Amino acid sequence: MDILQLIANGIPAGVMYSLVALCIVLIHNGTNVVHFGYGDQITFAAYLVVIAQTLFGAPLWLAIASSVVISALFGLFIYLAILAPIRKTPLLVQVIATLAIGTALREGMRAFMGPDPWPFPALVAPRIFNLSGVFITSANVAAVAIAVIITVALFVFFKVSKYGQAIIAACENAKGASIVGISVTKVFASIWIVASVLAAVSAILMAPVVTLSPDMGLIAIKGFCAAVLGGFTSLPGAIVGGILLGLIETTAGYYISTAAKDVVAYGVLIAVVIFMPQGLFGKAQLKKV
Amino acid sequence: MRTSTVAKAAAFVAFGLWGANPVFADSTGVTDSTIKIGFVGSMTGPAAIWGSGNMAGATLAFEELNAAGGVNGRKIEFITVDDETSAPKGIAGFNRLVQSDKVFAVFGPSSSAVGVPMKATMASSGVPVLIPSFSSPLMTEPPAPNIFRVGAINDRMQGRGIANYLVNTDKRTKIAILRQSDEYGATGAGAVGDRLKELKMAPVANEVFNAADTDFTSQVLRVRSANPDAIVVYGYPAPSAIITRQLREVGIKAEIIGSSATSNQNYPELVGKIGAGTKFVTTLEHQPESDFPAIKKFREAFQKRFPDLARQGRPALGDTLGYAGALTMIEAIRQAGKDLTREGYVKALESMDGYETGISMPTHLSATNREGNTKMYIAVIKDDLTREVLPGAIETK
Amino acid sequence: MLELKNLNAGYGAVQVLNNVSLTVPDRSVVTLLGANGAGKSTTLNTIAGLIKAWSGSIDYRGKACAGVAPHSLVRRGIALVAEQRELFLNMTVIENLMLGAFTRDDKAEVLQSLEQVFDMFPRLAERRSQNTRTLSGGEQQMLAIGRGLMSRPSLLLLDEPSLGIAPILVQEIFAQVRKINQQGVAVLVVEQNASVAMDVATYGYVMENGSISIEGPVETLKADPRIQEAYLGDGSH
Ligand SMILES: Nc1ncnc2c1ncn2[C@@H]1O[C@H](COP(=O)(O)OP(=O)(O)O)[C@@H](O)[C@H]1O
Ligand SMILES: [Mg+2]
Repeated sequence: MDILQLIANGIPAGVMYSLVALCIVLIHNGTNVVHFGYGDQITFAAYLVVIAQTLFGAPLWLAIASSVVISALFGLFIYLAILAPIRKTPLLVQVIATLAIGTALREGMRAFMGPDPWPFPALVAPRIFNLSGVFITSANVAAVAIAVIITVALFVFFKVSKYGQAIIAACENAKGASIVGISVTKVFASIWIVASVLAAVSAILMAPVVTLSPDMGLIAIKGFCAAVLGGFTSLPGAIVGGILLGLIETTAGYYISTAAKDVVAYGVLIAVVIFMPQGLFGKAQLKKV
Repeated sequence: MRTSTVAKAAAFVAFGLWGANPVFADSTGVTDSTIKIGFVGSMTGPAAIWGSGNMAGATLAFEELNAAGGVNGRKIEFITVDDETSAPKGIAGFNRLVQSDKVFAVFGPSSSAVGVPMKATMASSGVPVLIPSFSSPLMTEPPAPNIFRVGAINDRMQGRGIANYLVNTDKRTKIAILRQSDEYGATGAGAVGDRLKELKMAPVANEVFNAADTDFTSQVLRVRSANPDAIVVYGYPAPSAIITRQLREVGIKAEIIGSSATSNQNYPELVGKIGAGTKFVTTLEHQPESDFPAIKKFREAFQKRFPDLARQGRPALGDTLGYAGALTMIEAIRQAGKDLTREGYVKALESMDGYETGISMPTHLSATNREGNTKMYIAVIKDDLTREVLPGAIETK
Repeated sequence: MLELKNLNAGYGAVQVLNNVSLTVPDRSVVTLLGANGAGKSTTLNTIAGLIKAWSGSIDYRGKACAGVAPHSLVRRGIALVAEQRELFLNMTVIENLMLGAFTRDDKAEVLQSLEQVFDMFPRLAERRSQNTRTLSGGEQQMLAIGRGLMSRPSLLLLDEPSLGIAPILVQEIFAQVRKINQQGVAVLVVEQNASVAMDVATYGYVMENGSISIEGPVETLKADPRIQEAYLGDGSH
């Protein structure tokens, strides 16, 4: 029953894409900017853990905590020092700025930590569970569990809390938000902080499984695809898009051919873009005049 | 693009420049007290994994040489250019070294993705080029008169060597191949398949993966269905590490063997305990972390010279091959004598037959052979994640 | 009391407001009339902090407001109901209203305000869980006003509440504006529909090309032939 194994592995693989997609959508909703440096922010956060451990001898929990904090501050820095000052420039300028941030992080890490991949500490003791022939690893279980927790927490935050609602409101209509008393600057800054904290969380889940190297952020390409599948505006869409992409990739590779895997996976993606331009979950966005 | 590269190189050979006796001896870049050597390689971008090491190793070798008074009374002036893992930048960098800096010879480049597209430019310049690490056979097939490779083993030979080892030494009969989707994987794994055919065998599975992918379940399960007794994984370290892990995680017990790209010393830790028993190709009889005297001496000098790189766990393979390649270059310059010309240097390289740096494979070149090394070793990752080179060099012919 | 003195403002290099001075006493209803493009919305948006004043002053209850961010002005008691309404169309009616109370922390009283808004505009109560996009123009206007009230303002800036709305709803909305004022909220209402605005206001200004051209108590304005001709004629504006 290889199909069960494909699903058991396809979901955690897809969850990695989901986490990336989630934050790309979050940032895009708030600022209209597609953050092409997000994958590299994840890589950066993972390296922060390694740096804290190898250079400062910090225990794992402290290394993780400092990575989360520095990552959050870094997100705030990106917004305040780079993107807020250029927010009135053409979108292309801002998108290029995110690309530049990504390249700077990637090459900075390559220079500072070396071009070779780094071993990354496993968050949970590596174990393999054999469920009557279907093998499941503890790392994958942890990744899915934490992703579920994050999703639920975000859902509650955005649906129930006043600040979550304020973020959604400001993302939809910044002017409307400011006239009800929401500081749009604070909202955007907090989006960058939330996305950057999630970058650190993703990094910790991802790095032990996908191997930490300066180019680990390339996974963001899959994240973008997942976001497109999910409609690029919907947070649940981003999650589902990622998992779908993971499942499509594994099953297409297995049942058709591994050489055709990308052709099939991206064929599906292009079909979605053509036939359902709003994605599987996107709302019909009537742009206000 | 590639065809034209190869075609030009072939034309170059056909038009009789190959082996022609130069009328004018060319001593560009040489003064009474200095020799200008250029380096073009990937110091940034994905191929920095090799380029930054090639440069660091060569820098150390040249500095040591200069401190000891130079070669035949001349000190090396080392001029470096970063190709950023981009072929156009590599070509521009090479031209700059040759045309503006007027270097005597070039060391590098450092990756197939950049080096192969650069071949035509390098061949037509006539400037001697010594490649210290990357493994595309296209660099020496067909041979260009001025392009040499030492230390590394090319992917065609490596593929043959892997097949030889699995069939002849380990007596495997059901071999599965998992290869990277690019030129690198295609060449190496293609050679494994070709050699198996010669040995009257066929791979039981032949699967393809992307270097940048992070999940390989479909490949791994297809391999599992084929029930192999050995699996060749031909790809870069990051995907190879994940694949090795995933192969074991779905319960596959077969022997796994990786390409020389997985011969870096932190690779065992990348895979983790589950990877114990995995084998890989190496062109170093003594690994950079070993206490073999020549290696140890190199390592200590390297770490003293580059404390920042030492922090990253270096020297690694790329550093070692860079250092060894530079030593080989220096030796050829020494052999070429006091009246140093490019022709003399090329002749000296061609006359190398077994030159040993002590840390890399011996170099065998000739008037018709530009591939300095044809031997490799197999090493294994042990339970404590240390590495052991298995005795006996593998012939790859 | 809101007091504008010699206010100049515009977009980019283009000046729109020219030495505008006006006053809205506490608990009063004042109207700002003028033709399309006169600069009425620019005036309200400048008061609300959405447009930066070039020079001149805006004082509210003795405190300078020029240069203060719009979200801070809400905390000072100024609520803008913008001409474009600026609702959160992808959210429900109740979510919009609750966001109107973003600056307030008194949860129990917020719910009380919500009930008041629903009393005022029962149509909103019926559609409380409906997506805002599905509301009619008049209902959206009610929601915009309701959302403005949720911050419990002492000054409500209303920009053309009658725009694009069926006449019957216009009456309904203005009836509520009067009630809002009776509860102590000062209102500065911008209108092209002068007659309906002058029914609730006690004092009025007329704006032409970014300057105040006529001002006075509504009774005087109603009698002014210039106004009768330009704004009260056939009411087709
Ligand atoms: N965002 C803007 N950018 C540039 N000019 C504007 C903008 N909004 C309004 N204007 C101009 O300012 C002038 C006044 O507009 P406005 O205040 O909207 O008038 P009113 O509300 O009285 O109809 C008009 O000439 C209009 O074209
Ligand atoms: Mg207007």
